[in-house]
Amino acid sequence: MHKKKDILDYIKPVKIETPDQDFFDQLAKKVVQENPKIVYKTSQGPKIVKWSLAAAAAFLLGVLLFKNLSHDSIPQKTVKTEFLADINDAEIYNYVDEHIEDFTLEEIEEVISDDDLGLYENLENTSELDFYFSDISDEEISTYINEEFIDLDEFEDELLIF
Amino acid sequence: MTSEESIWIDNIVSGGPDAELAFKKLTQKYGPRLYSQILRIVKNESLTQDVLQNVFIKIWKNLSRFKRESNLYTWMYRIAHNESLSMLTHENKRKSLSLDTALIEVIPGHEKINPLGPDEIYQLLREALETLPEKQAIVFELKYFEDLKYSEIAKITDTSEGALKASFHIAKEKITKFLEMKLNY
Repeated sequence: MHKKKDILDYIKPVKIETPDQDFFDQLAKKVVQENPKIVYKTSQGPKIVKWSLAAAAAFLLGVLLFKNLSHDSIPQKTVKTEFLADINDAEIYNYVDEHIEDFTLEEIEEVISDDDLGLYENLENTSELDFYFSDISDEEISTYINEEFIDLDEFEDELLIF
Repeated sequence: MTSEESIWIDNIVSGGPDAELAFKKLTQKYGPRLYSQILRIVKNESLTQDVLQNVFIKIWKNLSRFKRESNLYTWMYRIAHNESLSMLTHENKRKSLSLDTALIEVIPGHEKINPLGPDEIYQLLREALETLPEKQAIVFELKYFEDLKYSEIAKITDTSEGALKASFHIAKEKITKFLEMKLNY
């Protein structure tokens, strides 16, 4: 029994003659020459150097941080206890008096004993203040206040000198 | 994809000193097959050479985009197919272009085919092929037009011979039905 032919059995493809190998070699050469590739060179050398520098920087930072933290953890002696232990109070007061303008109120409180502070706070006798300001006239004081734009209302709780 | 082809791809993508040699080998291996495929679509040798050059330029430039999970020849076949159709559209000679050389022979005996010339029959055959899924079209072209053995097609497409036989059988059935419909059976 003959197998029934389908339509494709009546159509026969013709083998195509393709160009020789030289044609394709020339084609490849032409494509490559007319379309150069950009090559991004990567080398391991700079990468290793970069990582080494980063590691060294991280190590150094760690050492510095550790050192600072260690330094902070050491308890600091107060200025009064360490540096003033060998100096008598009279010498301290004289120094502070001579360099009064260089100190803040807090710094002065640190070096003056509570008893002495209480002495000044409760001062009723103005004799010592008179001593300090005896060479200055009232006019000079008034002029000074005006020129420096000092607001006396700020000192309502303070001991006014006049 | 063979290990040899994988090395070619690496060399071409890297663009190093071995790139040109690798590309040359790739062109030698697949150039003739792509040439035939293109000629069957554009039906003109001069246009075929232009299209083939465009195809290989695209391969050279875009091989880095090729996903190695798929088949290399399938990827190139697709590029060649698209470039061929693009050329035909550009030339506006999709149906009017006459064959420079005969691509099919008609065997006498079929009452529906006999009245038609080879150009007309071939045009119908091409239209039928365009209706197939890509993989079936590839198998049909390699088996029917190139007359390759299933073992050879299996190497090219990374597909088993059994799957190829089934695929070709289905493709042939679809094309037959298409032609019969067109010839008013």
